[in-house]
Amino acid sequence: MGMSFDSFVEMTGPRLRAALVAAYGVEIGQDAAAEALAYAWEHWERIQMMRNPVGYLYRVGQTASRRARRPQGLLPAGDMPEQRDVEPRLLPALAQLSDSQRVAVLMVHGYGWSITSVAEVLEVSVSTVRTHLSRALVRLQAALEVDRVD
Amino acid sequence: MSTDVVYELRECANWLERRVGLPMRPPTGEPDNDGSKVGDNSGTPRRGRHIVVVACCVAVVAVMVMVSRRPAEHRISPAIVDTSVDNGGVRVSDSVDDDRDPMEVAESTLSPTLDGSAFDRTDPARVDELIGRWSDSVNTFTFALDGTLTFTLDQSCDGTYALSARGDIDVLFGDCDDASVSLTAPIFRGATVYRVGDSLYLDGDAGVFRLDLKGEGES
Repeated sequence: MGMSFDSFVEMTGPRLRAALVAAYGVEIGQDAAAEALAYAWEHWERIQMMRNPVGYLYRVGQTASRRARRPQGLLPAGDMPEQRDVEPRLLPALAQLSDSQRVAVLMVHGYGWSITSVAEVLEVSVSTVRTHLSRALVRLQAALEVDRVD
Repeated sequence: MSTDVVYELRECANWLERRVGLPMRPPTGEPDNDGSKVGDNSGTPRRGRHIVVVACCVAVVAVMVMVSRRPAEHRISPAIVDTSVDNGGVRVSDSVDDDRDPMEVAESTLSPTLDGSAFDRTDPARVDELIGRWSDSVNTFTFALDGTLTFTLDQSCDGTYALSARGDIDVLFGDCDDASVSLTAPIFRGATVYRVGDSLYLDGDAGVFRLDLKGEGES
C-alpha cells in the first residue's frame, strides 16, 4: 500500500534535500528535491526496484536544477544570514568548491551523514568522497585562514 | 583537520536547515557517520554499534519494500484541472486512465529527465479538485499555507512545469497550457503525501482555497 512510498520519502527526503541544497542552494535545491520526489512517485514501480534509488533521484534533481535559470548560490541573492548565524567567509568559500566537494563536506561535517551515504547519493566510491572531503577542507581552511591542527 | 572549520560547517548546516524548514539530517537524529576516518572524528559514534543499527535499518527497509509494493490503483492520479471557471476557482474536468504494464512504462522512461516526455501517465484515473479564486495578479495564481507555503502558477506556461513551494515541500506536477493544468503527481507536504480523500486548505491572498483529492468516479 501507500506506506512504502511514505517511508521512502521519510527516509530518502532528508538526504536528497541535504545534497541538492548543498549543491544548488536553498531555493533551487529544495525545488529540485521536491521534483525528484514527485518523479519518484510518478515512477514508483521502477524506483523501488532500483539498487540505488537515492542516487538516481539525485540525478533527477540535478536535471531539474538545470531548468532553473536563476543564478546559483547557496542562498538567494540578498538573502544572507546574520553574521552570528554563519561565519561570513564560509559561504563564499563553499561557493568556490565544486558541487561534489560542497555536497560532501556539508553532508558529512555539517549534517552528520556518513561517507557511505554521501557516496550513494553521488554514485561515486567511498574513496572518492574522502578525496572530495579532504580537498574541500583544505580549501575551506585556507579561505577561513584556519591553521591545520591534525 | 581544524575543528573550527567543522564547527562552522555545523553552524552553517543548522542555519540552512532552519532556512529550508525541513529535515536534512539522518533520520535517527544522531550522526550518521560510519566511522570512516576523515580528519576530525569527534562526535563519531562507536563503529560497531553503528554497523548494527545500519544493518537493522537496511533489513527493515528491504522487508518493507518486498512486502508492501503498492498496487497502482491506490495512487493519486493525473487529473485535468479546468482553470477557466470564472472567480470560482479551479475544478477538475477530466482525468486520464492508463493501465499499461509498469515494466513497459519503465522501458519507455529510462531517462531521468524531467521534460514532458518523461511524464508517462501510468496511474489509473483519479479526479482531483481544486477550489479557490484567482488573485488579481495577471496570469498568476498565488496562495500561501500557514504563512510559509507559497507557490505560483504561471498560467501562460507551455509544457511541463512544476508548482513548487517554499518552506514546506509541496509540489504539483504536470503539464499546462493557457487553459488547463494537468496534475500528474501527488502533493507533498514535508514527509506527508496527501492522498485520495484528503483535503488541503490553502489560505491565499485572494481567499481560502481548498484542494480536494478525490478518487476515481467520485463527483
